[in-house]
Amino acid sequence: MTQYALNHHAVFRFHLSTRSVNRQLGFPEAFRYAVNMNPTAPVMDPNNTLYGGYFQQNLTRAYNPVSIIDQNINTSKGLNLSGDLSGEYDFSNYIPGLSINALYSHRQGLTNNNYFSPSTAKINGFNHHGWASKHNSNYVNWLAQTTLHYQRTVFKNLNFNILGGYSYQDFVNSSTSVAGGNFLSNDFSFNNLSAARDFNNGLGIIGSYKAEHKLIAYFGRINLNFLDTYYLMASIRREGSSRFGKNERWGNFPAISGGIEVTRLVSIPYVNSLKVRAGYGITGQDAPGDYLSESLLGPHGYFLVNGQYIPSYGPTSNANPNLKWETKYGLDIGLDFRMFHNKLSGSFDYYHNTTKDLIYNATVPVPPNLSSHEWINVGKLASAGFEANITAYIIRKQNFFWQSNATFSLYKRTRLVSLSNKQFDFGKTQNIDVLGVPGMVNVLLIHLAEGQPIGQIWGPVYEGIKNGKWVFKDLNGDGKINQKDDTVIGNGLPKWSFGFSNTIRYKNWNFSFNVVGVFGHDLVNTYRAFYQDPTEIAGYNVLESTLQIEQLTEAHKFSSFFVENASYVRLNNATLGYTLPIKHILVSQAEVYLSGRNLFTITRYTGADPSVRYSDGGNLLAPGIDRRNTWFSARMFTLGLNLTF
Amino acid sequence: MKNHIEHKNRIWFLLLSAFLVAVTFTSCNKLDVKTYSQLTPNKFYKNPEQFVSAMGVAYRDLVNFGNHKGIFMLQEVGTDEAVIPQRGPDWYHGGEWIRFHQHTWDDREDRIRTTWNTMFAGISNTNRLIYQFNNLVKKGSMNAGTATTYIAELKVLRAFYYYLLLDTFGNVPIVTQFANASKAPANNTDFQAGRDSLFNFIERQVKDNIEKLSSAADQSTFGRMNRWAAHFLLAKLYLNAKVYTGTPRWQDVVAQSDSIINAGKYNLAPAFFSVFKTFNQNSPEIIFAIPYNAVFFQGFFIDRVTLANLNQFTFNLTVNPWNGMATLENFYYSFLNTDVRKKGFMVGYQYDSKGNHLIDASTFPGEPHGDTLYFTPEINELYPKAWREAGARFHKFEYAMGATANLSNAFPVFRYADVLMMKAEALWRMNPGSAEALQLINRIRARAGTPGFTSLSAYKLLSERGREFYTELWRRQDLIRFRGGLHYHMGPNDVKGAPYAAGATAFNDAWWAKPVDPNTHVNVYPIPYAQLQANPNLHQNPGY
Repeated sequence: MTQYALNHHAVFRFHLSTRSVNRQLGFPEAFRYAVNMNPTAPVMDPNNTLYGGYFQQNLTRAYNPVSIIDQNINTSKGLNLSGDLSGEYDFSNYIPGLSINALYSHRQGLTNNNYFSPSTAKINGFNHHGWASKHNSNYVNWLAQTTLHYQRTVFKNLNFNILGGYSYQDFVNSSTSVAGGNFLSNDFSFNNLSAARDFNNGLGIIGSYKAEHKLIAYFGRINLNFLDTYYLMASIRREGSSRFGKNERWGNFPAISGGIEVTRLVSIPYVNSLKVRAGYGITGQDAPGDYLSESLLGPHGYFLVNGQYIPSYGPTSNANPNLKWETKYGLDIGLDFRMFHNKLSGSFDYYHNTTKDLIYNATVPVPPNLSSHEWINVGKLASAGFEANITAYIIRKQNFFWQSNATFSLYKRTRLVSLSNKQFDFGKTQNIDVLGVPGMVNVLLIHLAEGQPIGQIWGPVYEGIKNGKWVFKDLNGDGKINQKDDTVIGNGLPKWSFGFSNTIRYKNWNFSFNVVGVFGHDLVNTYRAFYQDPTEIAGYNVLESTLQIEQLTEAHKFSSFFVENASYVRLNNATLGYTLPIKHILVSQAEVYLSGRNLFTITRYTGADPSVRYSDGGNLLAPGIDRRNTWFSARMFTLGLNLTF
Repeated sequence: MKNHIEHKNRIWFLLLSAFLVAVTFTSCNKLDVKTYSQLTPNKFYKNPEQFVSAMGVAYRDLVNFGNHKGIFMLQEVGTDEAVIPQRGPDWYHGGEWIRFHQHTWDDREDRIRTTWNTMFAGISNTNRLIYQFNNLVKKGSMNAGTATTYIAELKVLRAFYYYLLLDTFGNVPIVTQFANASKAPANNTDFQAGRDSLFNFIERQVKDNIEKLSSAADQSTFGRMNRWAAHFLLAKLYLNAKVYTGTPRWQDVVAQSDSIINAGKYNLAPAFFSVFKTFNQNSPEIIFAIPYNAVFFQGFFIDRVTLANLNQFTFNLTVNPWNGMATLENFYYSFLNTDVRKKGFMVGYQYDSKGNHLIDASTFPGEPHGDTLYFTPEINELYPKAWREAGARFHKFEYAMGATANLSNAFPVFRYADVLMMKAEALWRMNPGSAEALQLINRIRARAGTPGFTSLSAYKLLSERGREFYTELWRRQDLIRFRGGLHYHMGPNDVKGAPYAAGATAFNDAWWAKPVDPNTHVNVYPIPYAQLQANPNLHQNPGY
């Protein structure tokens, strides 16, 4: 809703919307067990009443995937409300070019998750004689922002544009959850939790939670434009976050950039526009969770005092009162051009980024800390690269049109400049990020070393299998194979990539496609580390490649055997369309098309998806790990009809 | 008309100004946020109930005594009394349990890391509480007398954590500060000297505080460090003094044991299994226990680690067991058939609670008893395909009918029978013909319904300790304390056969699928790799 007032000098805008979402959340574990379940086993086994007539193997890590999906319920209902109210006043009558804007924005939502697993569901309900849970979460976010805007032209050709403002954001999240098992009947589903007898003997679970987070910012920006030839922009943002330590909450983030339109100064043959530009700026990254800098106490179960159990309270995590903004210093130099009557256009960019005070969940020494992880600012990273983007109109005729776009990126892999900070000395190298395969839970995959790229995959070099045992390369030649022979066996970051897309129209036909290629990165294939174990052939389905190491009798050990080159070229999509020669009073245009997505991928990677994994569960220092939660992306074909009325 | 417009304009102007002012005033530059569902330290530690409550955290780091996640595995699964064979697809776990059995673990093992982290979490928690209680006394919000008792209790508890680390890892850093603790504590100078100073530290801490502890031996101190638990801790420290420091302290073992015996507060329970039953907190034998409870203190589920999946229906458990840990055939045969303690193992046909045979359709082809569930003392192989039915299962602790995921038996960490056994061993070490030692051992044997010995030997003492204390986390240190060459192929009913190959200590002997340890460095565990990385001042134990 928009309302004008004061002779159109004031504008009020009001916007309100609600959104209701119902979702079937599904069961990701069904994919995992579909992988290792015996593929020749039947789905149903009518005699197996214990498990509701589904066939189940009597093994600890095998569940019939169909039964998981059929027997259990996992749904979510959400209601979201958003409202914005803004007011703007134009002071042009008094001071030309000055305006003020105030915005209040409110977002609120409720989500209700329901879960039920009956007493016959082996994966969960069976162990609890039925299990049901309800989880309600609630968020309220609001933003208040005031900006002052001033725009003038002076000395005839100097345009300037100044913006100053203030913003205040508040985020409150809260939740309630109830879960319990041991039902007499499966018919209650999740609708009668008091029927869960777990609550009678203290085993039911009830929880509630509330947390708040604030962000406040002051900002200013000035844009200068002289003769449409010289451009200059300078800005500053002073921002505070409640998540950081008391004395570290505020950060200053300035930026400056400038450019010159060269063709306004000199005339270059065939060139319509050539803009040279450069910029440098600092940006900040907020902490990833609330209260990370504060010392908090939470319940730690119960403690026996005089024969009575009383609740026990203690710290829930290590507190870091020094936690502060992560800052990124970015430099970008580039040029934009258009030439040959705008038939060819494009841009070239060189960038260099340095990240300081990286916010990282580091393993810290125990003792003296209470727990082995703490969010700290540590390390310095540097990355650089070159990007080119070219668009060409190869043919532009009435009946024949062909546009082609190519991008090319060359990356200098992100380098770790330093690892330690004033508080923590982690030495010059660290191995991080665990494999998590049973028995190899603590195998660390990524090697960090000062002055070297991040994403270095670390381990012994695989040579073969001899007498049922792994043979690794004795790199240091001391006659022993041990951790001293570990080396870099791959890198998770790519070296270069390209993208190529084309749109061709000929008479009534049109055709477009998009190809991407990414090169030079490796992936740790954790699927294989899990499911390629010859000792498990007896009970579980294993990967076909297990036959390569069939003669292995000793325990699985991580090595370069599980690291693969994941360079790939993929035809992302292709569409062929035909515009029907229809002229009708109702339908002005009609088009039929056939479109395919994810059509093919050329790669030597044997896992589900060779895409680059830039982070591992949010850990940016550990790229290059393909976890088991990836499933094959679908190949999709669409046959469609577009009608324009 | 014009007036009307101006009037309307004025209203709009007022509205706009009010809105702008409102937005600007609700905003400020204060970034403080409240905590809602968690407490900050300045909101807690207000009254005596909260002080006691805070102490519980320091005890709860002992939680892994009764499950397969930490110290239980370090103290039991590398010994001759417990093994987790790979049963085809189950319990392979990347070879972790095979490495534990064969003493080929390395510094990346999950259980080793967890043990280090939880023991030191216990120490950091005691350091923190001591620091906080001292501050509360200074501020006048806590009674100095109460604080002194609590701090003494925390210091002895901390000494117990250090004792466990001394036993498992040997040379670990000593940290007693909380507020000003070094961010990267340094290791002691070298292996033996470090273990030595740790020994002296523990001894001094217990001795300095023992008099301040409660001497009550009732519900008021159940599950907590009282004076008698402190005496027991000292006795254990002295019992293994030769291993830890090179200097035996047998007379001190006798003195500490006598402090407990002469006080007369504890006694042998008349029936062996009553010590291990559900809700056993009134046992006269338990000096210090972890008060596990299905609701309030969860973490005891040894039943799930050892029982076959189908034994769920033997005990009507609400959860499905995992068919893992068993005892070794040799260990099972070290019991006389008349020994009541032998009933702490499940062998033979298995039944549901109504007495029907349990039928396991997933047994491997060729298992001796086919589909009918039957535990054989024999385990055909360590890996890769131990029978699903192989191995006698542990049932020393009562598994309550209808038990939920966690058991409600308190776990006896220190008990009176061990006081007698420690004293007997110390007397025997000083005088192999000691009549009192023989008489003490025979008290234990008499309760078990087995005939008394007429003389003692290293073999008899070590195997008697095994029969009495299996799954109570003493086996590893007992084996290390005794010389090598004490292991034999056993026949049923304690019939000794040919000896296994001898190692440097009984822990290093060969048995079943484990060869002789070529090196004694395995007598302490490696410092976890993650910790070596996090703290560059730490040095790995020799040999790793």
